Amino acid sequence: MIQVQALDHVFTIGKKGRENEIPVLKGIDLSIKRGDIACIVGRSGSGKSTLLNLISGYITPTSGQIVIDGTDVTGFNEKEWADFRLDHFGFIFQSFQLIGSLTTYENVELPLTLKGVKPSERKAKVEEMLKRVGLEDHAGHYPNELSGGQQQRVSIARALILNPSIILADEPTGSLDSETEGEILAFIQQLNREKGITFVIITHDDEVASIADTTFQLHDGVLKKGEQSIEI
Amino acid sequence: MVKRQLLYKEWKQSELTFILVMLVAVFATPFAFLMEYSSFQTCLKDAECIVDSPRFSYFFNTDVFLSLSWLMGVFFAVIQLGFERNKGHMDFTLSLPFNRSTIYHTKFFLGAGIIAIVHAVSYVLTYLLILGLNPLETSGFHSGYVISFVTSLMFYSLFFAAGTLTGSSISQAIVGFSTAILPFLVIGLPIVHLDFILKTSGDWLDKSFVHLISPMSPIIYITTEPFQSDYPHWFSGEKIIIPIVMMVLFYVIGLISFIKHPIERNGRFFLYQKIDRPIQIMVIVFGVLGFGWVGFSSDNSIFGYIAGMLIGGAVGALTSYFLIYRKR
Repeated sequence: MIQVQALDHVFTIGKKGRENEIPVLKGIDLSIKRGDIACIVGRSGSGKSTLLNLISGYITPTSGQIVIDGTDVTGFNEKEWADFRLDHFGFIFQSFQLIGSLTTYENVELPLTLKGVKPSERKAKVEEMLKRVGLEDHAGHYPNELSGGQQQRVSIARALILNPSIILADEPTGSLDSETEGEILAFIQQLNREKGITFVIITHDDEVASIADTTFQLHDGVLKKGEQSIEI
Repeated sequence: MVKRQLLYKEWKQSELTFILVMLVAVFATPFAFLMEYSSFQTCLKDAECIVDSPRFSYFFNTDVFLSLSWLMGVFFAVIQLGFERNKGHMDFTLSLPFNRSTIYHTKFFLGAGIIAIVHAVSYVLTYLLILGLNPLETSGFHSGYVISFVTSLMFYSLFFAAGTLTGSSISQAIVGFSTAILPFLVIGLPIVHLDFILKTSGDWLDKSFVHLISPMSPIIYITTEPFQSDYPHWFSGEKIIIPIVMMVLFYVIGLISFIKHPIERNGRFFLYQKIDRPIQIMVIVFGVLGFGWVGFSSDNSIFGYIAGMLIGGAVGALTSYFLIYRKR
């Protein structure tokens, strides 16, 4: 469960003594249930990426509180965030961010390698994951030999390999055509149903928002009253 | 500090580039040495070819690889930070379960380690060739390698720091090179104008450049100037110690900046909005002063001076607008 309370975030620009404060997020309250697909929807500049960066601990909020799976993460230092991310989060990016010199197998294996898992254990896990995402026949292929949809599947497999409870996805279908987008969204729903993984998805696309259990509309850094939780 | 697993990811991410650069860099000096020796032997057999001595000599002070090895430092720093931001891989790297200082140290020491290995292997290979071919003189062999190594690391550190402040590879390269000549711009240009306005004898100006501005400028350590016997020194060992101090300084600046850098500004010229405006103003001022000086130097007239300043102001304003303001 992700709970955000009275969250404010302000970017400060200008010289000392003559600072100009630009509020990016204002008094955000939201709650995402375990096992939900939650979409944070908003136009460019509405603050949705900032909200995702705050939830994932890339930046520290100006004020407010973030509680994830019962842990108050608001005051976490970098080391605590690194450990917390390892245990709780998987990340999916718009541009896939696969490493071009690694094969599909090696890209999916990477988080296990980084965690220091033994090679024999890694092999079993990666093979199982590749089967689950339907890419077992592409294990030896490099990212540039895969379609956009296949690359995003590799990226999802890489995000899932450490069994995170929460997947944070920033415009996961932003680089895909509509047909592949539908395929990836169906896949996300399937993973959500089968594994009970919580998905927090940033998007400006209504098609993506349509798969959400809960949608949060952000407008100029404010969650619109009455639209804080829209059941689709 | 440095995580082995993360080192693997960083290596794999730019593996091909690292290997190609290493292969070229490792064999450049031994190969140049061997080619020079081969040409010398051919010359000895040619009755029309004149040689100073019947035994071969090689001057490492003018070796191409040792003179250009700093480019390797620039290249590695841009690949590891600027290109990574351009490709959008930085978000993925930061999403990994490592804190930022670990990521910074791992990246930094991977590049620094490769630079060290390249120099060490090249040194050993060349040393073996020297033993085998027994040349008469190998001027600057040890010092050339040491200076080349230190200079490469200093430039690597400088461009690495630039990469932590900027949002793309192009801006990283521009900031890196600008910093390499910064003392010439910040101190040199104003004192040139002061000299013009006060009409002095110019002695103090020459001394300022030779004794103050040059030693403080990173760019000076990639020229052959410090090798020359008439090159003035602040103290002995200056050409090694100053680059080492600079390297540590840039390393610390880079570390602080990387830990604090706002990731949402990837792709902008500077990652820190606070430095946008001061740098824009500096670019315009440098344009005015630089072109004013060039204008005066071209025809020694006040007209050239003022025209140069006006052109420089326009160039500076356009440069700062297109490079920084539009990408802020």
